[in-house]
Amino acid sequence: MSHWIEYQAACFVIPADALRLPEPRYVIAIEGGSNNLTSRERSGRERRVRDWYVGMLGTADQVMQQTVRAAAGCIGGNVKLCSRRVTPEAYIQRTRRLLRKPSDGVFRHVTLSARVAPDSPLVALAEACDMITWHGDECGRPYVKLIPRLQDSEGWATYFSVVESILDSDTVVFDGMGEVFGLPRS
Amino acid sequence: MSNVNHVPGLSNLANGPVTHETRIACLALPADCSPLYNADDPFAIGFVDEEGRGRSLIGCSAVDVRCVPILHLGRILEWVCRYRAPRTVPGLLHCDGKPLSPEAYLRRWREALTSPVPIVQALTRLGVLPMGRFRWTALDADRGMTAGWTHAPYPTFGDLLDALGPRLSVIQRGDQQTAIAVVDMTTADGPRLTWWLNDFLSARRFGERVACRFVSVDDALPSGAAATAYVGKPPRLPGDSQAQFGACAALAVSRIFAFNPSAQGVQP
Repeated sequence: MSHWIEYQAACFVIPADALRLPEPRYVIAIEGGSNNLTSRERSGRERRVRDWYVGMLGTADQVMQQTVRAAAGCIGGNVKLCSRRVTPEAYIQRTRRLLRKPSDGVFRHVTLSARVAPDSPLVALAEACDMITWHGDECGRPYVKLIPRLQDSEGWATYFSVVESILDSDTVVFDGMGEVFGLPRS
Repeated sequence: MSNVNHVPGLSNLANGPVTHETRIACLALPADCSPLYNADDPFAIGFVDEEGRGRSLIGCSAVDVRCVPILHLGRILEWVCRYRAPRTVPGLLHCDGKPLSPEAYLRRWREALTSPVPIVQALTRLGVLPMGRFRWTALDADRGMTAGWTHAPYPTFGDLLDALGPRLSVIQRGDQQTAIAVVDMTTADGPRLTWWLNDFLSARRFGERVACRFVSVDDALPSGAAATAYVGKPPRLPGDSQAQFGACAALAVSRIFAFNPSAQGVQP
């Protein structure tokens, strides 16, 4: 059965004063990939594909809510940690551990963006906040990518104020919430 | 995976007012209810009672009138983890009067799932009456429709309708026949009939002809209550259960005609 494997994760904190927001924001970066997609290295060794991506994002509470939702996938074995089946409780505990020891230097490793439907009210809000709105199409489904004009604390303060309602939602899909780079591969 | 981060139109369960969960329960279905039955992960219906919000069935959204939430136990826990447990994080979901962690909330459900109540004992042990409720526009040609499973207990839709007996009522309005089935799931064949009726009515050929197909878990009425109206003849049940079923069935039929899904007690 096809499932998703998470190999490693990292937590970054953006201090509240840097964003001029009441609470700090966290980014959980995850290296993961599908169990049934492989690539062949130069040595000829076949290896499951894996990439870093933004797994969870927001305040500590928002990150935990997103974690609990994602942990549901562990019950049926759709989400595994390092190829091992885990309970949702163990998955939640992993995020708790990450949140206890966050790293600095998020701007060196993460850029943020958000994909929304073209009719989303967030598009107009992002334009009013001087964010970049980039119209795209994937498999016939149009979308708009909202990108902060600058990937710094000021740009991210605007970003978080625009996407706040997405992060609170139980239907958020973390595909395209940003890019992660410069972290070691497993 | 969707290409948007947010799917509009769905509820935001992670926010809103604090709700107090007063009871969770799981009704285990018998092995003969479905060809998909797995003894290691049996079928059940989970529900939760909340102060001020009433009863919600695990696996159904607030306004879904096409939802028969007969789920494997693992799927119930998965649904709970995805849609209910996140509300414990900001303290929006309380149990026994106090907030709890998502891990504690999942533990609470695991305990309920390890000892589910057999559905035939739902009335006696939990005081609730699970009912399968269906309404569709009937055509004579439907009777010949064959089951999509081998060794089906009801090889054709006609066989299933015959097995429903008095639980099925057909109302003629002009050229149109409306069929209404109200199945008491605490009877021996109730869960099986509900599963198979839902399976047949899920077929594409029925499409929009199915006005509703869902399960409700109603509170049992006081034993002295009597039905004031009933379409069709209720099945014979011993003692007080007879009056109870008649009253509940009358309520069910009136609700089906009213066709107000929010009144069915199926909101999450």
